[in-house]
Amino acid sequence: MRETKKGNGESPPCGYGSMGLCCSSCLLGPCRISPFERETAEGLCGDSADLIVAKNLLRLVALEGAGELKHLSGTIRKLRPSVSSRSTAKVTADGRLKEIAEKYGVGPRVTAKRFIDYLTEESERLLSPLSESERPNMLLASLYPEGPFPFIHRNLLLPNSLTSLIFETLSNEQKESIAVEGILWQCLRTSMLKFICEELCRDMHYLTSRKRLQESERKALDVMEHLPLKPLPVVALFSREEDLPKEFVTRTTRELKQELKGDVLYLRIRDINTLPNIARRFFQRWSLSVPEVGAIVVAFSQSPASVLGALVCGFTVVSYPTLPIHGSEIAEKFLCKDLKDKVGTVYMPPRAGEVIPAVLELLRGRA
Amino acid sequence: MVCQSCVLACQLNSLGVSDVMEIPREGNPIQRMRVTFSRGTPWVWKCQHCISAPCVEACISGSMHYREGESGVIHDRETCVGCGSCLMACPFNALIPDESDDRVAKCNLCPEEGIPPCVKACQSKALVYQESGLFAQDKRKKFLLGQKVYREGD
Repeated sequence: MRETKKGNGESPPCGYGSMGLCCSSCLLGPCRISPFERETAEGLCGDSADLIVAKNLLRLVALEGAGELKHLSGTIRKLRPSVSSRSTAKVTADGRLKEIAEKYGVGPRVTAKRFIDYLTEESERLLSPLSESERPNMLLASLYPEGPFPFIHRNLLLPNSLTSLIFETLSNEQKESIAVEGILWQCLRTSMLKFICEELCRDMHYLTSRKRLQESERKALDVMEHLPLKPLPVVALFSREEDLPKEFVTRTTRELKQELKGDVLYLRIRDINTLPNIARRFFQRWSLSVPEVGAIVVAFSQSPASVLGALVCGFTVVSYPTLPIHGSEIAEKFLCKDLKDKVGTVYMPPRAGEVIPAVLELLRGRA
Repeated sequence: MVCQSCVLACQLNSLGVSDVMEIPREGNPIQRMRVTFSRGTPWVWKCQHCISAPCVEACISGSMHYREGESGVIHDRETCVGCGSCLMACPFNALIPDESDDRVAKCNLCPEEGIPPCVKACQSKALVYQESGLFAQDKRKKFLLGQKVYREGD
């Protein structure tokens, strides 16, 4: 986080921004709706407070998704130069090929060249805005199978084309007559973009570069390799140091670790993309989906796409700082209550000191 | 459009909360300040803490008084009888009738806070908290140095 007065906590954060009540959809704004008049007040365009909050969230998620989309297309371009129709990249180790191929439902006897061609071809199809009406993408079907990710399949959240999803999101953001819930569902769909793109990029890099996984990632995956036979309560802590002061994250992580007593599986993850991998491992080992395990993610992140993506994968998320949805009762109810029976839910402790008590309370509820 | 951060900070303070996440669903705060456009310029409707304040002169119960130490006009809600004389006397329309208890509400400079929350929330430094004598001194100094200075209400 930048060294600013707001960043250092010397001056208070913008109340309208943190509630999602500041609308900059048109050039006449920004319109700021008072939280005390949100039932009656409207922006210049006529949007209610609920719509403003939902559209702001959608815009944030779409921005993150678009960034990841660019990253994925750049990675494919590097792997598969346009002059040649075949890949020029080489797989660095057979062990890695076997590991990744298995994840995508490809047999162990596949050659490196054929596998990379398959990955890039299917990713290109995913990126094409015209592939929407075709058959479901094979990559996504194998990456997000129904067993570990029932919520995604039940609600048809897997896109056929990532680019069309961004187009659809942006056009929804501009629509005048659209229901708040509709926008929130679109937020959930679009948050998948971040996970899909990052996971594809990471796997392609992992296959073709000699770079090793980060120590913390390796550790988290090692814990997952040796899961006990009986399901345990799981707490995964995700933080990005650039989002919150390092000192705060270090202290809270230490305190959380001390507080987690008994049989609780604690995971420290630095990359939010580890979550789908974790969900797959749960299913492999325990034949349970994430909502059935009741796994909790503590997200110290200012990325709404990460929080919503974790929710879509079935995790219950304790998010700090909070998502900018407090300005809308509908949005808050949708994400923090209505989804509870179907998938996880989002808990938003208002103060940093309430994060650990919220996690412990959730664990007690699970027990 | 104006940023309104000062207004929100003032409302939160009147509710006794420090964060927007703690705003109760029920109940409205007292609006001790508001911001509107006046001839294209944002104008804060709040007590200007006049040195010879008409509201102090008009107050029949003595609940409105100028406190030298704080360089401000302070309103004591306990002794206010809600006659509304101050409302009529104020040339800045800065006093607000509080319908919850038929008294008057105004900016008291939040003496319990040190620096008032509205000043803390103001990112553009349009609101400053300073002794009136010091402010006038600074203003003269800047004027002599050739810089233009504006204070709210100028």
